[in-house]
Amino acid sequence: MENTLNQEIIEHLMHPKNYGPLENPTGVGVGHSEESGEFVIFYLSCEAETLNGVGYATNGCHDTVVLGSMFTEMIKGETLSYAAAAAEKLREKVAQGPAKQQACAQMVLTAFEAAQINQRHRHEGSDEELHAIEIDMKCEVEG
Amino acid sequence: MRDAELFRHKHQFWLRLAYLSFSADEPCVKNRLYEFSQIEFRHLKWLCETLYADGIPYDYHRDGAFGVEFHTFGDALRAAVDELGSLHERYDDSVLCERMRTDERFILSFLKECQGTTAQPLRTFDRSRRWPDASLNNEQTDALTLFLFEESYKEYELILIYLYRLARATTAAQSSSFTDLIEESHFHLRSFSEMMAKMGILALPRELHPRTYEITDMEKFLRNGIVEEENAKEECRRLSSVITDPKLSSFFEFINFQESYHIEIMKKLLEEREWKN
Repeated sequence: MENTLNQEIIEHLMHPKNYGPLENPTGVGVGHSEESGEFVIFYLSCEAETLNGVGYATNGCHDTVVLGSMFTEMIKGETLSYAAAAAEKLREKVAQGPAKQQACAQMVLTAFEAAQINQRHRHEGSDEELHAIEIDMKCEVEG
Repeated sequence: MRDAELFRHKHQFWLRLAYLSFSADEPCVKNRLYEFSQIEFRHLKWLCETLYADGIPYDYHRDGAFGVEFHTFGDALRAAVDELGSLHERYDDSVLCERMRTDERFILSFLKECQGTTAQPLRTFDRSRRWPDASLNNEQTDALTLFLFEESYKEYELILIYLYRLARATTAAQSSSFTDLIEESHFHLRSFSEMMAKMGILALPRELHPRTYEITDMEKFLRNGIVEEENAKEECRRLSSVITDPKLSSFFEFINFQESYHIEIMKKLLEEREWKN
């Protein structure tokens, strides 16, 4: 994500893509900070390794919203291995940016990872409703 | 029938009227619509209390297709008129529903009066990001844009969280504090949304996930809330120093001082011991 706002970012802010829960998800994961109460919840609907549906929600800042919107657009309709590579690319890209953006990206990507873990647990027969992972970074800009 | 579906439609209709007001150009229409949106919010509050008292679950989910962005003000008015029609089919014969029905008959006549003179495209969604009252450079415009998106969501979130807590208040002190906080957030949401409309970036705040308002540890919520208010104060101070326009700068200073009093109200709430979920 760039620091200067462009029309694409404005569009993600006005109308975040893939925002909200999915019906009958195959995996649900949460990345959260116990200290600040911020979270991202990520929903997957996966069939034969393909992500037919993805969704997310957050109480975090605008960077988290935009990153979640962009990331879900990148991986929707793609395979899980493509999504893993996209997650790594996003992590590398934000690593060069401000610490705040890194924290927001970590929250989104951790929630995605947690959703995949939940999906694996469900395949193994677990009745785990969602999988949660706490992160140790927090976004410092809040309302 | 008073149930979660009715609650969802009432929640959306409050937003419909509030965002119609933010989109309107004509001051008299704008103000009248905002007053009506506040009546709708009171309906929502009464409905919340009734549902909670009757043990009927409700949430803050909105229909996927619900939006506030329209090409013309007339299109937005038509959406409101249509929604009122389907809303009335959901009312039962209780005193509360009768009150809502009679209020909305009057609102409907006003909406119909406004139709017909509103064919020009709305500028509130044109994404121009120009502040009409002063010259702002790119850095100032970006800072103002991000602040408005951040804070308009936060104010909407706070209104709904405090509304949820108000229905569950166990003491007069809790009721009074949550009522004050809701009123303060309404003022902020209106102010920020009007500014977004002027800049062509008016947008509906995103939907709240139940994790946001189903709070099990109120003390922790309040402590985090105080930190958030302090951060909001810092954001106002930062913005007021970045934006050199005296009018905007003094507005953010004014908001900054209001946040200070919110902290005091939340500190008072920290003394409360009994919370219901």
